[in-house]
Amino acid sequence: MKPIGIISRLAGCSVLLLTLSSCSSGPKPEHSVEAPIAVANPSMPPRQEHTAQPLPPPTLADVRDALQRVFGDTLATRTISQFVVGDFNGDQSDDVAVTVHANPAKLDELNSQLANWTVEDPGRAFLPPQNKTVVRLPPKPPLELVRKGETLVAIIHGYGPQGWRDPQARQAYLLRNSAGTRAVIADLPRKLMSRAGVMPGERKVISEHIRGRSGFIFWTGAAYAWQPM
Amino acid sequence: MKNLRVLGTYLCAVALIALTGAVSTVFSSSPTEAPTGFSTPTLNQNQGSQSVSNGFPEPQGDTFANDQVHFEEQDGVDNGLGPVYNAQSCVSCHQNPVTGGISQVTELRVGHTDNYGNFVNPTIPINDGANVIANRSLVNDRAICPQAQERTPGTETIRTFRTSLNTLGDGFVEAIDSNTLYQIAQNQPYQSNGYIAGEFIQVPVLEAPGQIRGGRFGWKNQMSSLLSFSSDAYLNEQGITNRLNPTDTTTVCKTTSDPEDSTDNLGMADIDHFATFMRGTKAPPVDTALLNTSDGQAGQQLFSAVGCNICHVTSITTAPAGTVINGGAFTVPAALGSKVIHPYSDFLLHNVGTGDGIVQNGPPDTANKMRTAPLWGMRTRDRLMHDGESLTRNDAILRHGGEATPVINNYRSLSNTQKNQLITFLNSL
Repeated sequence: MKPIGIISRLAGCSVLLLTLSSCSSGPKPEHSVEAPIAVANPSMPPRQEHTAQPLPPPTLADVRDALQRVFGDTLATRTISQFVVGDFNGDQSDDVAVTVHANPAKLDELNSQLANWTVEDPGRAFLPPQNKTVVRLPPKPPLELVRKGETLVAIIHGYGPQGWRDPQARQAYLLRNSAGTRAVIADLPRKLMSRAGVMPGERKVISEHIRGRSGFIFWTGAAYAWQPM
Repeated sequence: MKNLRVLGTYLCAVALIALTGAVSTVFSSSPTEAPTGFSTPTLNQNQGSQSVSNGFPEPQGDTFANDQVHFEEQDGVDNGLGPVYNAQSCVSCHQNPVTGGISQVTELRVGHTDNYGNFVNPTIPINDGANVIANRSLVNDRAICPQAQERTPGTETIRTFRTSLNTLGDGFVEAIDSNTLYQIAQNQPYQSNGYIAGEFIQVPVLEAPGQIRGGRFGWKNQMSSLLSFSSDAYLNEQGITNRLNPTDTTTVCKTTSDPEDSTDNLGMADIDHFATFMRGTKAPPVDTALLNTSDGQAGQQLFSAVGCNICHVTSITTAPAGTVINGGAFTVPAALGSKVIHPYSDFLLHNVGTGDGIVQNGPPDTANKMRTAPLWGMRTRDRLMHDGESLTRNDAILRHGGEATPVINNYRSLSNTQKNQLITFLNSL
C-alpha cells in the first residue's frame, strides 16, 4: 500500500469521526412536559338528526317490520297481537315488547350461540340479595334454549328519537317463561327499586300476570328479571 | 508503514463504532414495540424470583422481585388492615394468570339519585348506627370487627358490581401523554359520523397537589397515575392509610396510628413498591399462534372493518423518554418512553348502554359512562364487561348499545363464519 493511500484513508476516517463527534456533542433536546389540557367537548361533525316530531302511535305493522328487521324469519309474526311500548332500559328511547312464537323450522338459528339476540329466562336473572354483607357472583346459569312451540316475549331496545322503529334499533332479547296476561306498562315501583335497583333513571317495567302471579319484568342493567309481587 | 496501517485500521474501527452508536441513537428515539409477556408468575416461595421486568429502572437498592413481594404481601390487623376492606393484598384481586393480572373478584358500589337525578354517594351506618361511612360509593365486603361491617341500606337504589382490572403493562398506559388521549377523543366523532364521542376527564394527581391529568385507570378513569392508584387502592381496598391518603374510612375498631404505610430501609413505602412493580410489568402478550391462524387474521381485519377499533384503539405510542408527566412528579424513563402498545382501548369514557349510574371523579354526565375496557389480555378473562355479567364474547358484544350501536349493528350483519373469526381474534388477545 502506498503512503498516500494510507494517509487519504486516515483523512477520510478522521473526517467521518469528526462529523459524528460533532453530531453527538450537540445540545441535548429539552425534555417536554405534559401540560394540562383545556378540555372542550369533542366537536361533533354535522349529522342528520331526526326532528323531534311526536311519533305516530305504533301499529301492528310497525311491530312486524321491527321483528322482521331484527329476527328475520325466525319468529312467527303473523299471529302477534299483543305488544307494549316503553323505555325499559332508561336510555330515553322507546323499546317494544311483544309476545311471539318461535318459527319451529328455525330453532337452530334462534338458539345459535352467534345469534344477534340474547335468550334469557328473567326468573333466573341474578339480583343482588338484600341484607347480605358479602355478595358473590353466582355460578354461570344454564344455557337458555328456545323450545319448539314455546311462547316468548321479544324485546327490541330503541335507538335515538325513533326508538324501536329506528332501523338501527337491533339490540334484542327473547325472554322465556315471561309471556303472561294483562301486560301493561308501569313506572318502576319504589319497592322494586329497593329490591333490585341497579340503574338510575326513568325506567318503565312490564306489569303482567304469569302463571297466576302478578309481577314485573324489568331491566337490571345487564338482563331482564322477573319480580313477583 | 506498518504502524500507519494499524493506526488507520484503528481509526476506521473507532469511526465504525461511533457510526453504529449514532445509528442506534437515531433508532432509539423512534417508537419501538413495548415488551410483552406474562412474566410475573405467582410463587409461594421466593416470590418474584422468576419474574422479568420491562426494564423499568429500579430505585437504588430495590429490585423488581422485591416490588412484587410487596404487591403480594398479606396485610393483617397489626399493620393497619381495615377497619373496612375487601382483601388483604394487591395480588388477591390482581393475579390471573400471573401477579398483576385480573381476577373474578368484584367490588360493590352503591348510591342513589337526588330529586334532580344527580348521583349521590351513600351514607352507610355502621356500629349499630353510632357511626357512618359517607362520601364514597364503594362498600367494603369485609371488616376487622363486626361493628365496622358495612351493610348496604335499602335506600341506596343504585347498585353495581365492578370486576378487578388488569394492571400488567400499566406503566406504559401511565406514560401515554394526556394530549394523545384527548386527540383520540377529538377524532372519534369524525371516524363515526358523529355517533361516538369519548369523554376525556382530568383528575387530580395525588402526589402532585393541585395538578390534574387525563384519567386512565379504573372503570371511571378516576385515577391518572399509578402512585395515585396505589394509594387509593391501599386505603379503599385494604384499609391501609398512607402518605397520600392519610385518613382511614372509619375509626371503629381501629388500633393503629396513621399513616399505616411507612417507609422501609430504602426510603420507599408500600405504595411506592406497588407503583414501581406495575410500572415494571410487561404488556399482556397476544397468543401469536392463534392470531396467526387464517381465522385470527381474518378476525383482526373484521375488528377494524366493523369499527370496533374506534374505541378499542389498536395501537398507541407512549410519550418520549424524558417527558415529565403526573404533574411534574414522574419522568418517563427509556423503558417506557416511545413504546408502541396495543391496549385495544382509548382509555376514554363512553355510554354504551351499560353504565352503572355511579359518579366518581368525573362530572355528573359520567354516571352512565364507563371506560373502554382494554382488550389486551382478554383471553384470560371469563366474565366480561364491568360487572362480569356477560359470559360469552357474543353476549358481551351484543350488550353494547348507545354510542356503539352502529358498530355493533355492523357486527350483527356479519355471517356466522365472520363472527367466529372475529371472536377467534378476540381470543388471541
